[in-house]
Amino acid sequence: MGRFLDVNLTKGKLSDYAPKENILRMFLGGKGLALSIIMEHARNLAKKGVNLAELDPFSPDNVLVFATGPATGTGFPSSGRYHVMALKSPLTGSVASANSGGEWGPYLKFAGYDGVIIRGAAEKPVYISIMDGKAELRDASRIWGRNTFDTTTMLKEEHGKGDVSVACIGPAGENLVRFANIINDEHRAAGRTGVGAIMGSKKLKAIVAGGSQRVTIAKPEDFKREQKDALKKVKENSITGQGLPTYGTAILVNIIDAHGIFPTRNFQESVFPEAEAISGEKLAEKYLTKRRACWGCPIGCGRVSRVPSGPFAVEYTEGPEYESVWALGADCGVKELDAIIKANHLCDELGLDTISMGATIACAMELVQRKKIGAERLQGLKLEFGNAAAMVEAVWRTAYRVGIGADLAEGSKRLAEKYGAPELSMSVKKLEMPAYDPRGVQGMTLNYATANRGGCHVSGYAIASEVLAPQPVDRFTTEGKAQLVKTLQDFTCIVNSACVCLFVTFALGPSDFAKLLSTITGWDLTENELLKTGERIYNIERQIMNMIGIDGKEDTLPPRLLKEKIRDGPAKGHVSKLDAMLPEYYELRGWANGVPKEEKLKELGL
Amino acid sequence: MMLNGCYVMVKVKVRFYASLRDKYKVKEVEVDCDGGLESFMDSLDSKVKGARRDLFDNEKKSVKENMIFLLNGINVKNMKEPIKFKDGDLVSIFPPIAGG
Repeated sequence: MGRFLDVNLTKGKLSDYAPKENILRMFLGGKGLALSIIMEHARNLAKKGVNLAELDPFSPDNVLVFATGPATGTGFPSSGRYHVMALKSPLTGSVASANSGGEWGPYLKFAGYDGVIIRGAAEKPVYISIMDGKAELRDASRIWGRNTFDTTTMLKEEHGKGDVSVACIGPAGENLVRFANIINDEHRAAGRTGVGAIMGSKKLKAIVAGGSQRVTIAKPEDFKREQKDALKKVKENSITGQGLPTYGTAILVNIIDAHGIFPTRNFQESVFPEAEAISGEKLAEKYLTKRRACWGCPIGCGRVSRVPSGPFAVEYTEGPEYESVWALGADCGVKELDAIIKANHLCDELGLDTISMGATIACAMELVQRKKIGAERLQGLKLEFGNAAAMVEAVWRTAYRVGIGADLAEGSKRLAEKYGAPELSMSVKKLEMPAYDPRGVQGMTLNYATANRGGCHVSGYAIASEVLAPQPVDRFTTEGKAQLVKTLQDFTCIVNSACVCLFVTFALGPSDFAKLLSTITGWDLTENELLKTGERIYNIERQIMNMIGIDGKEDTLPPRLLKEKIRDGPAKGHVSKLDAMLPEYYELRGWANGVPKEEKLKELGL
Repeated sequence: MMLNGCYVMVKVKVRFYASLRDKYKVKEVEVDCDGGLESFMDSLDSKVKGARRDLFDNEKKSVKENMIFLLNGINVKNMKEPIKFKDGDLVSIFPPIAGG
């Protein structure tokens, strides 16, 4: 670990950057290391007198960091991942954070680098080529305007088909859609918080990586032993060994709906009567053609799908994942799975985050339902709950900012504010919440409210403990949830900094991570040190957010979830009881009003 | 269940999901039972061969640890009282699954 490519697009200058050994141990890699780089950048900007609260996310002063972790590309189970972070998200105005699988992370390592720092902005479209330790900036005028599939194909043809991997943006990123993503390997996305739009603002179309550099492992023999043990656990675990490989993530549709926490029609209801029609079982029965695993993944949850005929025909596509099925399906009241597959495909092709896209369309549909958006603005588009064709059309309109699409491209919060009903945006810190109604699962209430990046399910995936566990904790109680969520959030920082898939945590715990990471890094890591590192990473992210001006005022949920009871189903009558958990959570974190106290920062060496 | 000192049979709807659906080749069945879990399992087994063995822990007289068993959307492992089925109840049974 420790070689970053530092690119200044304004100057057209490329150099190497090597973080110090003590920084590597403090922040591990991936998300943690990216945050330490962003913190240094933020402090430098502040020294120059830049007001971070007012800094435009599309300004050249914003910094974007791609980072792999010590596990990436090693053969640690499911280690084909990388993390992307930026000082400011165009969607949330806070720290941007996204994670992706596929092949790109390992390929960056094979190219000889652990990460890429992007500063400044180019005048004309460029892409970065990193091949076997040699990096260069290249003209991207030929691929600017292309979708992500064409961009990937063209760059692969130029740089060597099977031997390179491409991470790029589509038209949505170029058009500064606030929730544009970065797509690598055609269907894998660094999805959330609009990191693709930041690339667009910097006129950076893609990063191509490939090569045959070796990934360093400090104790290869010990690693092989631990790896074998970990692989056995992953294979023998009923979720990672059977459930996820067989059905993929969309299998969650029915179980989440059966618990009465499947948000429907912009969280107006929590049970979708047509859930079966959009379920993982239905996907497998009608549209699944095969599986596709990310690099080095023994789980292989990825789906390859095909819609053979009809208005939503797609010859080859991947997914849709559970969150996408929900966002483009139940949240929009859409029960046609072929339309959901088509919309999901368009999101990959155009470079859009499926969760924010679906949730923003759902918000628009409720604004139409409540007559806040008038017919003249819709120009004939029937943006009504359940209208599958309108949902699909809204996707490409958003990517190209056409008609109502220009409003949708701003995300649900700005959309709802523009039409006079900000409370109808189902978002936290302006990031749209995913597919679990937190009113019926209190750990998710606390996680959604306190997740640093905003309405995020994977910061502290309490669903694993409250719904999917063999012996679940009571989902309706608030007791014990502060500790549960804090532990999950800290551990997830380790997962995203080691850069492995969150799904392996169904089979591997912190002690397994400590053993594996010790053999890779050569450090004698304990479970306690790792969890402390996770806490440090969570806190440095919060520290940067505080510098931007975000504090506990934004650790909350939309009023609908705090005040309106779930209308029907198994969770009927419940609301999100945030007040019953937040003070204890702050106490455990050593925070006051969402701000880490001095003694906590000192304890963590921040 | 007991009503005026007599056992009354109740009808319970049962839905299977994921690999259980593939294994049993059925999505939904209706079973009659006396309201207790063991009676429910026996009745279910008579309609869906192997269900009792897959779902019921004979020693603990409870639902097997690895199964997610919802009674009207509530996980029975979170219930403080022993399971008592009522007429018209809905049972949803899932093998270990995940996503996100």
